[in-house]
Amino acid sequence: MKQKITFAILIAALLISCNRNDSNQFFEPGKGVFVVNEGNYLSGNGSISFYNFENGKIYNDLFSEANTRALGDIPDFFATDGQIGYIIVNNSGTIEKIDMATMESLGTITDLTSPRQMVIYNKKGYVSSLYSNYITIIDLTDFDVEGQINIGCTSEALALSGSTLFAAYWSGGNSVVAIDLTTNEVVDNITTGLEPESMVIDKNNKLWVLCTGGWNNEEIPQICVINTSTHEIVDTLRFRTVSDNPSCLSINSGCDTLYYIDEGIRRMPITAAELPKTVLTGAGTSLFYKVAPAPWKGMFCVTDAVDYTQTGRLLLYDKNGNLIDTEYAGIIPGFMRYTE
Amino acid sequence: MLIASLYIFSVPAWSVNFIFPDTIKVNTVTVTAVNHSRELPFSSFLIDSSLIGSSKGSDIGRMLQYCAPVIIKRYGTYGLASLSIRGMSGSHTSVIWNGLDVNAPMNGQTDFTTLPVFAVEQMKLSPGGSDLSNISGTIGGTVEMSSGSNIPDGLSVKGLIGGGSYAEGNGGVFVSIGKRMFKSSTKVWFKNAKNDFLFVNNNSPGGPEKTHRTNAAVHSNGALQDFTFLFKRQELSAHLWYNGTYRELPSAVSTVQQDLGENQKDKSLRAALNYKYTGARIKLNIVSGYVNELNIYNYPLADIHSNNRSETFSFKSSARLFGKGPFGTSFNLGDELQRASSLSYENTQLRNMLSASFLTDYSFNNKLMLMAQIREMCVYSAFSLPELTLGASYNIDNRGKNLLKINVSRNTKYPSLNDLCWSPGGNKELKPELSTGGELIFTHSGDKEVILFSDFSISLFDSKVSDLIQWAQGNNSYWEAKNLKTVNTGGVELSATTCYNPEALKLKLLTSYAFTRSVITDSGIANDASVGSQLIYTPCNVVNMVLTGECGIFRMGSSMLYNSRRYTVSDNTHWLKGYLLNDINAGVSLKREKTLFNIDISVDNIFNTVYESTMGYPMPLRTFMLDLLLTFNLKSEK
Repeated sequence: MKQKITFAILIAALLISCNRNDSNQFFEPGKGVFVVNEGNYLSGNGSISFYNFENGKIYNDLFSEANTRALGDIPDFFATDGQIGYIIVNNSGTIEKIDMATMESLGTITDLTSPRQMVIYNKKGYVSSLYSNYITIIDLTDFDVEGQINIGCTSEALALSGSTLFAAYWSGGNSVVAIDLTTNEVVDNITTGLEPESMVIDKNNKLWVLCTGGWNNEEIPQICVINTSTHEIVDTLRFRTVSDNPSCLSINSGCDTLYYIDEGIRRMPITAAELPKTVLTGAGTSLFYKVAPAPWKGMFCVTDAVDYTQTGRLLLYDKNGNLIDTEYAGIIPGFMRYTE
Repeated sequence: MLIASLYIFSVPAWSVNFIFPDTIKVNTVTVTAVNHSRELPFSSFLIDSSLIGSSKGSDIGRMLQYCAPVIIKRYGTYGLASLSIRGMSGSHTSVIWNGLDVNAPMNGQTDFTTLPVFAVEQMKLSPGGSDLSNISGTIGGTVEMSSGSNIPDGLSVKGLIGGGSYAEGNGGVFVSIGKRMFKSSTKVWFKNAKNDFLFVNNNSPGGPEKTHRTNAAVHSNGALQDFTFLFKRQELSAHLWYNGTYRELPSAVSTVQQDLGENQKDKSLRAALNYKYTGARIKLNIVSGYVNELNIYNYPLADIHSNNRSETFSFKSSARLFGKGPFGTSFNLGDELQRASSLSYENTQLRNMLSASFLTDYSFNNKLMLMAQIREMCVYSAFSLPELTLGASYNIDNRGKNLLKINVSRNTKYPSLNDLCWSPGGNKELKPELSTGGELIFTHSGDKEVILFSDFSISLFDSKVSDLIQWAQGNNSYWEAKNLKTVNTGGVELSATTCYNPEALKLKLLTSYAFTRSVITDSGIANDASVGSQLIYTPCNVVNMVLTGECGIFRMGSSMLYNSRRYTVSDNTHWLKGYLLNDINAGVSLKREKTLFNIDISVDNIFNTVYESTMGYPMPLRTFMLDLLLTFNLKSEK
């Protein structure tokens, strides 16, 4: 009798372990892109999707599938360090550390003040904040808050050049703060156009900063090009009119081609002397929210927020701007991170 | 509109509903229904006065959610609470107090958390917007409240003190004086609560956990003065109501609870002066009023502050003419001047709404009544398209016990000042929302002379609401108000009251059920997957039930509320699951000469239901409340 019971327990344990293995098959990792779906403000329905380029499938709600709980309110950034991912959940004030192969949470940092983006330098994460004047330093080994850097203003986009961190003062601001990460001190404050919203560093180590001109169209938007060594603005590319609304400056994996949203997707080489006059692909009936060039074949992905209240879409384009796939993601699909 | 207020408040019988008895016992006064008002082909419910009397420490939203086919969307226990009727939003519900429209002109709605039951004696709910007698239109429905009515002769002093879970405390003193020609009612009250209730956070990173709510305290106080002067055929009444509320605003709980320090202060001052004349051939009602509202919001962490102030000056007059023949006519003329300022307005906004409406009815042998009503509005000196309602009532049994009513209507709702003027995103080009539809109503009034009787009503409604205003992403980086969607809303409302009154026992069962389908049928948004979907936060099924019983000095009651699934995303891909709430209460009344002492204890959410009215805003588990009411009555000598 005891043997039968033992046998039954073993079978049950085997079945449970099989189920556990099966539960990890809710998405197929591989060459693809993670999409951070922001969700509705205050609704806590942000999520993570993954689009697999190899099988052309999208997998939604990965975090909640893996962890049987919600991700939080307004996840808006995804940093990666090998197979470890860090999801910045803005309005929940949290950072989720996840195993990107299983999407299981490996830890949560809470009580951050409106975290926005994170860059990783020397096993530490540097997190910008929409509401505080501090860059928060995260010890990624212990996954705990290690300290803060007072930069004198709020911050949004971050870019790293060597040991210098550039933080954009976006919300009502007009500057980029340079911070020396060896001393954690502010070393410069570079005046830009109004509301620097996004920025990237090219292969020549130049910092490209897209300034929207203010939420109420106070001035003509512009892209400032900054020498990361001297911190001088070496070029300024102005948009057409004060009512233009460019956003989401991105750069390809070769760091030689820029993409941004402006009445569609525009693309330009970093050598261009002026902004492109035509769109690579128009938005049509979509509401383009974010663009991210893929590291493969010149493809790029765009998110369509529809009306910012419902399930949005992931649009995949080839290098010529032809739409090659459309998939439903989560609510307000935004930031995208490709697998390495 | 004015006439409406006259009908509603000067002659309570006009507001007698179709569920509750034709006669309402208010102390020793019995008011009998006038057939004409019952026959008007609209749907309406008078809220049971015993519920109002037993819910003093509560807010009106909470009381209504248990006894009427409405939906209360609440951001936590003391957060913003809006009342929706027939699947529309809170801004589609008109709220009227003593004839005055008290909806804030800025956001076009009323926060029911800030309306204590202390402040009202009578309430009426009118689903739908087919009655055009108000100054401006509504689409969802109307909640009408009155104070200072039914004051008995003599001196009455009441003292109420109550306390309960999570440091909740409330109290008040109510003094009424009644003589033949003069009535006065004075009320002052307060309410405080730490409100750090226990809730279950299912999305906590460490797994589900029970935790206390933070930054959720509330402090409120208020005062209300009513004067009424009665002459032979005339009545003059004055009402003044101050209400102040300070609330901490708890954060939404997505994964962890944050203490962000948000808070809000609301103050309002409402004043109404009513004159009524009831003659053989004419009934007149004139209302003038003033409403002042202040709303201050602070979010120190994000350095966001708002300071919103509004004033409304109202004047309404109505006249009901009684002819000798089968014709009857009513005229309404009203004007409302709204003035508002905000840190988010470029300058102080003024809006004047002038309206006139005309109603005529024709009665065939007291069996069939036909009615036509038309309203014309002039807003910002521009005339609107006339609104029209046609209806009929059929008296099935000649005794008025069973009525069949039908109406078709085309009515509008004007945008709020925020929709028009908020910076950024306000849109002065907005059109009024337009509702076209109808309703079919059957009502039955039971025989009140028997031990067991029931009243009930059933309403079928259907309407198409076009040019629905929605805030959506515009060409710039901010959101803009637009006329975007068309919604078809239809459904069924059932309400019933059953009374069982054998000698030593009084039992009353109030039940209501609403089935509502509010479906987006058209949209101005490209790739909009919400077309064909139910409007968010509109449950298809709402059921509520209140059972009360009295036996000698003892009483007890039980309340039940069920809301089915509520979608939280416009394409219906996410939702809050349905919930069932159960409350119980018991009390005893001890009388010694002229003094009455009531002790009541209540237990809310007795089964510890975990639920959210609004996503991210948990509601309390089981809570307790103890109320003590001391009443001293001194009747005047005749």
